[in-house]
Amino acid sequence: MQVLDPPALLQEPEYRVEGPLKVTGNARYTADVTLPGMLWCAYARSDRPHARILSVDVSAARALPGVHAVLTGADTGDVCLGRRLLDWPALARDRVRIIGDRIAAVAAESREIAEEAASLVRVEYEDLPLVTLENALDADAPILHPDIDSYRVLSNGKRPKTPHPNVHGHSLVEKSETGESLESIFERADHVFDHTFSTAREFQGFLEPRACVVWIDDEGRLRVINTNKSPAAVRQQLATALDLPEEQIVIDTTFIGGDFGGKGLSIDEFTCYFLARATGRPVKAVMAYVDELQASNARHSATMRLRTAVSADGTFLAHQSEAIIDGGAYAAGKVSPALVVPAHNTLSAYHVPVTRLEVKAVYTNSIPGGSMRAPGDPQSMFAGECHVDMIARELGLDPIALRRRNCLRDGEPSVTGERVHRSRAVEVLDALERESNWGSPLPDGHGRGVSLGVRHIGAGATAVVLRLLDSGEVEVVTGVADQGGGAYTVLRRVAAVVMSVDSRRVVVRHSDTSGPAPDPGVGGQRTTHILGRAAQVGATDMKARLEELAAEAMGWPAGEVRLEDDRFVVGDSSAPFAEVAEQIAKGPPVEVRGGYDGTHKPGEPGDFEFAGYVVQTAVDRETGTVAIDNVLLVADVGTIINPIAHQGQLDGGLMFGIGAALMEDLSFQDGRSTTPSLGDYKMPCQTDTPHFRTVLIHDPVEGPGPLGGKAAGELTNTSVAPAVANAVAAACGARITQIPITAERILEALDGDALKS
Amino acid sequence: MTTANQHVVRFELNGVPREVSIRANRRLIDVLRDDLGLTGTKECCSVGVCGACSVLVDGQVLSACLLPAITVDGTTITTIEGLAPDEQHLTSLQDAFIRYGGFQCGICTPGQIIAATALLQEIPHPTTEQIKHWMMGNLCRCTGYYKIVESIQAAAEAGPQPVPREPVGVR
Repeated sequence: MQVLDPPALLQEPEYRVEGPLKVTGNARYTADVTLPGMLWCAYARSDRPHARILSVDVSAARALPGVHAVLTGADTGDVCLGRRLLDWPALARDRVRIIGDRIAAVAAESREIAEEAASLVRVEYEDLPLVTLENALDADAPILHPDIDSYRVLSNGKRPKTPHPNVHGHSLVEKSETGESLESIFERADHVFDHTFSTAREFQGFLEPRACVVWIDDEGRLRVINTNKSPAAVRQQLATALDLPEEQIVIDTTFIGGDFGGKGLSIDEFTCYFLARATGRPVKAVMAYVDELQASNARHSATMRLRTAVSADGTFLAHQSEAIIDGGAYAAGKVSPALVVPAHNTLSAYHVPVTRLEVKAVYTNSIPGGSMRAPGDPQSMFAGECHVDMIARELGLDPIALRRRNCLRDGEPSVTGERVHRSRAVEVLDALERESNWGSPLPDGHGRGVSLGVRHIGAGATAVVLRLLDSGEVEVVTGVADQGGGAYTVLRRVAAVVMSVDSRRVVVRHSDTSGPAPDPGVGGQRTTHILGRAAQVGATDMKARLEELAAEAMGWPAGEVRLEDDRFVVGDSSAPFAEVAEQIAKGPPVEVRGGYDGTHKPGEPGDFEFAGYVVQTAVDRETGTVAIDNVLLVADVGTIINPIAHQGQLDGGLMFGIGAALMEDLSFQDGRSTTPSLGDYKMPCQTDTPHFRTVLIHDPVEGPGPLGGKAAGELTNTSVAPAVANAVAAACGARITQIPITAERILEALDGDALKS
Repeated sequence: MTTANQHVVRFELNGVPREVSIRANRRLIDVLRDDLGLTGTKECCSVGVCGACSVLVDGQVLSACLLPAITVDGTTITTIEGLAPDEQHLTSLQDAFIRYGGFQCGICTPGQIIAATALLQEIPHPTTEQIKHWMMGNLCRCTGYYKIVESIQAAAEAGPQPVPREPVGVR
């Protein structure tokens, strides 16, 4: 189907529906909530990365005036938390596995009293040997979770079979389109390339620490206000962990101060439930940033070995990838049934007929691994896109030409075997080549690097409810929380365009999980697609209902009224929408439901989108510093609903990738974080922004989203680092196979021996 | 009026004289958020790096998470709640942050707007480089900063007169 020019409204920059709240300090975030009688929660936390707990003495804490309850693992029992595998004890009982593990929880009349009481808790430990990536897979390694088979798994799921007790997640994908084995292709191929890459652990970098307010209401329901971006999922987690029926739990999340994947994991809600029950009061917990940086969930660090068999003309014949990801002390932050992130999904933008891709997630005494913006892709893209560049250089081929030869075409299966419904890879590469003036000479010390990225467009099911209000406005009710992507404005604009009314006629109402519009939550590039489509369905019905009711209310002939350009029109006469809608609203309630199910069905081709970068860098060979001269992004897009927010997602993705490429490293030594504050963990700031140009290539075929839209949230952060690494190699000859690309690593690559002497 | 460990501190907050009795170790962020209920100022990193808790103390941008509240005695403080002239208007900076995409999640926005307000008072028509250097103490993970710069430039162009605010479209 051909996309026509977007409606006029969508060509105007949007005015965010929540804008006036956010610029005046009036948007309510969880940490801003105070309830009558509310107590504060604080914890006594482990200062050991791995130890047995011999005793916990809370007597001094309990005796402090203002303290209402002090609980330990003896009170919370075997309650564990997690997004799929419930393996993280709400309060540690016999053992701590990271610095920052919660041992005792205090509820007190102020934060200061709670913290003072927590500091009075005395814990006796016996240190245990540290489990790290170096020793975790040894035959005699200490086992971090000997009782893993007794842990609960959400939705009656099962844990994957794993080759070692310290491996909690495992995925192996193999395909052979030709029937030939991987090994025989590697034996007969003209060339076999074998490279190993590694990526650092990263922090999501949302500025708002996790927070929650928890209480038991008069009807005995567990009530939660929190920062979780998937309210329905955390309700299920709480129900499973606490043995409560889901309908007895109500989650209310409105504004979230940044998510980037991390806020799908709720932690404090579980202990706060016990504290609220013990005290009969609402209890509030706000994580300190230091705990976010050492005891929450981070992007997995990864080591990836890639082998690719290539014919003399540069065609990819077979590809093998083996990835080890550091899962940290708990798998609680992971959502996939295999309990991995797909760091093994290398060469995902290319067609390779025979593949074997394997990833293992390993328990270690460090911050748990979880979801972060396009989980798995920044790792696999860095490895894959550097690997492709290295192949091109070793074969003497142009890096863009090699990519064009092998990239996915419509309907071709990806490395995992999933067919790609529509590929725009060639168009992206052509535009990169053209717009970057690829191949034109650069001054000495400067170089260009290219990367090609791909990301699925998220899918799923959701619903919204549309109601005509007495004011004549149409209200769109949604259960989705706002993590900043602009979902509420998507709802308004899609509904207004479909109904053909002024966008100010549409208002959005957020409902908690007891409301009429349950939503799976923000994430995986699904929100604009599924929520927008639900609004499109609902608004189509609402428009038809209003046209019918306008005829009745105004005494116009039935079946002839049309709603157009904010007016009801019959023949030559018309009346303003607002006037007629107010009239209709005096009658019986007008309410429609907009349901949409875009769940991806196994075997059907998936919806993907492509983007690529050309980055130009300058490298100082004496200091090893990298300066980015400029960045070109080419992104494949459908109909854009919120043009400002859309570009904002692309911009934010670029700087996310710059952070990963050049500076971010949430490192641990001997189980201890070396970056426990934002003073230590360096994220990009204003002066790190390079000169940046975006070229959008509009797909003439409709995307799956509302009015033909696609997705933007996870499209541009994944392929920045390989373009930077490839540019560094072009600028100075140093091939950096590990991110972040630091000056030390460049100097070592340029002159390793000189540095050591 | 000062009793043991308690100190009476007086200052002008968003045009209103205020008096609080606090312990010497109480931070300004706690006084604003917990004692006075002004939660527009956000606490994020707690170590003075991210800028989310930025407030104006006698016109200077300071981090309220680092500032002992006893040091603001006798000062004039402006927080994000004190910028707009009334319920019907926004400052041109607040308006520009909405129209030019200067925020996404909004958690760093009060601090960004406070810092940018001070910038435009000091340099009414800053260059891009001046904006980037002035604003480098205010982290933002959502926007990638480009649209924050655009918002500040648009506000500088529009000048200081207040702008009518559109109704909030979410309830």
